[in-house]
Amino acid sequence: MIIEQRQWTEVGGWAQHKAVDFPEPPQIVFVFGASALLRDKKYFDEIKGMYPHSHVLTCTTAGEIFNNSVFDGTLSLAAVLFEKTTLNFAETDVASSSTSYDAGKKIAEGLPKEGLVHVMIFSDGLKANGTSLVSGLTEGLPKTVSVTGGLVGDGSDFKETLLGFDTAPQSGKVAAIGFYGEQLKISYGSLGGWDSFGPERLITKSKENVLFEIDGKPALQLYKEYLGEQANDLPGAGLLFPMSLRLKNPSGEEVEVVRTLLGVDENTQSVTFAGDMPEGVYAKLMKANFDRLIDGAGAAASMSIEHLGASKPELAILISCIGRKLVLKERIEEEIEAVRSVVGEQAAITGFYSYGEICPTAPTEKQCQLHNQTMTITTFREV
Amino acid sequence: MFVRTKQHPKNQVRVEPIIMNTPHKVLVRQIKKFLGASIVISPEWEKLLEAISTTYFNFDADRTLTERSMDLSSKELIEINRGIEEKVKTRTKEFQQEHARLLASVSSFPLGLLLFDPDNTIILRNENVASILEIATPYYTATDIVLRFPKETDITENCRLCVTEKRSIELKDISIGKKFVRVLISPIFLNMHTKEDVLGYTFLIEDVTEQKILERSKEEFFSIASHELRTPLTVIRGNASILQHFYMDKIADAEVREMIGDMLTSSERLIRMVNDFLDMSRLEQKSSNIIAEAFDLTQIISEAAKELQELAAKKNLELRFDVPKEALPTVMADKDHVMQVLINLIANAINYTHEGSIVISVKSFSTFLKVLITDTGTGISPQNQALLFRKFQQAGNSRLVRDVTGTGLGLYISKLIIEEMGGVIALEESIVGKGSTFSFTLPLAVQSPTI
Repeated sequence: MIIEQRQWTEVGGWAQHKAVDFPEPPQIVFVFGASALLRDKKYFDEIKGMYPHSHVLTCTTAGEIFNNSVFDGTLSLAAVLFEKTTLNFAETDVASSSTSYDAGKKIAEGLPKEGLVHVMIFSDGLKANGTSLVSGLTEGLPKTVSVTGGLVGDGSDFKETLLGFDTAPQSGKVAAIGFYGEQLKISYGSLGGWDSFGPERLITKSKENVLFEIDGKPALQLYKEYLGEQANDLPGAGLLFPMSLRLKNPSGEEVEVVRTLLGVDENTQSVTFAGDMPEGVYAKLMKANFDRLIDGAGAAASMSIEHLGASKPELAILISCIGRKLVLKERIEEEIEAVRSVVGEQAAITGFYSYGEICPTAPTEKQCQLHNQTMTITTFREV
Repeated sequence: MFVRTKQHPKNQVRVEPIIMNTPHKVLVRQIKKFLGASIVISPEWEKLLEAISTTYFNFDADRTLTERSMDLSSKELIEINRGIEEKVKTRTKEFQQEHARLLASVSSFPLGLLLFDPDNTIILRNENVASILEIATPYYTATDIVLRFPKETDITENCRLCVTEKRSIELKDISIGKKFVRVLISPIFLNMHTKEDVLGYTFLIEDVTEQKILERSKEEFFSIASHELRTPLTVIRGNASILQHFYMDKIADAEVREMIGDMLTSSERLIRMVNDFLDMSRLEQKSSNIIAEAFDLTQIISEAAKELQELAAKKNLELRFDVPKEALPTVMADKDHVMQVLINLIANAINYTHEGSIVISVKSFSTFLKVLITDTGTGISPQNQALLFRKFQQAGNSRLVRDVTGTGLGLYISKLIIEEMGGVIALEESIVGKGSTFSFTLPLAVQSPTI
């Protein structure tokens, strides 16, 4: 595997991390960048110019990860040549929450199943319902195929999330990369680090991922009460208080899932989350615990290399929740440092802050779930 | 004095609590304290100070938010707690009312009722318990209850069995002082369907003294009345008999002679009835003197057959005893009573057979002998088979069930006798128009050791 990393900053323009000679063109170029930049087709054209024979995946973010640091208003690029691995791609549109399941199914149909070992999916972060997308996708894939990925972001604005596969990025897109072959080792891990607090609240009125009433009161009112002065900064400020839900999984066991706030609607006094908020379920507000967030990132990294055995990863794609970034603020890089110390210096680290992470709950499981507020890491190594 | 010259970087996250126009108070104070009131700062230092100031503001914002949320949620929790307390109060009141209602209904029961938990602690009691069991203290315990019962009843063990084996136990006619009580112990399950989780058991006590006295006086009445009837009846029969035997030739009127004959048969029938009543009440009260002894059954059967040979001959019927080839083991029973049963069954067979035969046979089993009386008589219809062996059957509406004594008690008395001796009496088989087979068993005097 040969990886070239570049970064674009306002001050310095494009800068190369390490000089790399590609014997043949890299198959895929990951570009994670600020929506303000990627909205401008100029950057896509520039990148296409640099890698004319490669597929280019562009995603807008709520923060770019480039090696050990976190940036805003930059582009983080990783061009990857998998020497012993075949890639296939699929893309589709997702217009709304209700079409998300079908979009997931379509993506699954678009990928040949023969030899498929892993799928990384990237989706619009505002139009799609992550829960439905994931269930459509996993339904269409063989049970042996693992899935990771994320919902792309738009700073803390929650206005428009863009994604492009070999085109300039647009809103309402889903793209997936299928990895084929036995010589690629992929592992993954995902962990949170939030504490729930306060009383349990019953979801009394909701529709899919839109929460209208909790304990019979408008959901938005609860957030405003808790945010106080910062309520003016909704929806972004809402990320400081994710919700923890007690859900029953298909085998009837109670599991705790975390839901990130994505948007608010003053007219209906509703709050939109990055996953379903079923009626009759108990929810609790959550609060960040700094040390646990950072420890969580490190532990996710440990999970993500568990499957690689003795070998060290060559590439680590980090998809972390915007909520963590908003909470950790200046300390955000500590979570990247925690990951680095686990994956080792040899690994190229790229990634972004997202509106939802997609990963199986444990490295031994294949069936993925939508997570919120986690650090989700996918590591790659060719043997 | 530290002065800000530049705007906050535009790519700062929007939720930054405060757009920094003035540096944080703490930072200003710290600069004053350590660097003096007025200093010149290079642009690099200014950037650093700005970052520090932002961190201070962020910290403040975080703290405020955390404090606010903790405050709010603790208020909410207090509110919830208050709500719960209110609910508990209401529920407690409801529960108390429910309890009072339950207790009132339980107290109005004519029975004594106790509710025990699995550790034999009384959870609920009604007043009747103390009055039935004649316990003086209202604060009695399980031990006090147990002590009121006779030792052989073993109440403790029965309660234990009820819980461990999850079944109801009924104890009849326990005598307590001058009283008789009936006790019903039933387990209480959390789920009545699955019978899981025994929560305890109910203990019902019924005073059956009155019933017992009534029953006894009825039985006594029967036996006394029968005794008292017998004496005058015997006089009537004796006189009628004398009239018939010695004075018939002196009575010219044929009608009067017939009347005397009727008197004799009727009084004889009445005496038989009274005897049956006496037999029955003795057997029911278990006061008939059945004395078991070992004897040879074939001999008794032969005697019975011989006695009834004449009756059979009158109807042109064959009465035969198929004596087994090998000698039979002796049975343990009361000779006279076995004879009574045999006579009854054979006479019945003769009575209900118009042509053919009555055959008596004996089968040997490991612990008992079985006597079979087979006739080629009228047979008994299935619906009437169900009525056999019951009290006063022949006296019922349909005179269908056979009984030669005319009291309807023959088979019933036979049943009481055989059961008293540890045997079983039954109708083996009966086909209308073809005949019937009755049987009874008697235990062997020496039980086979192999069984």
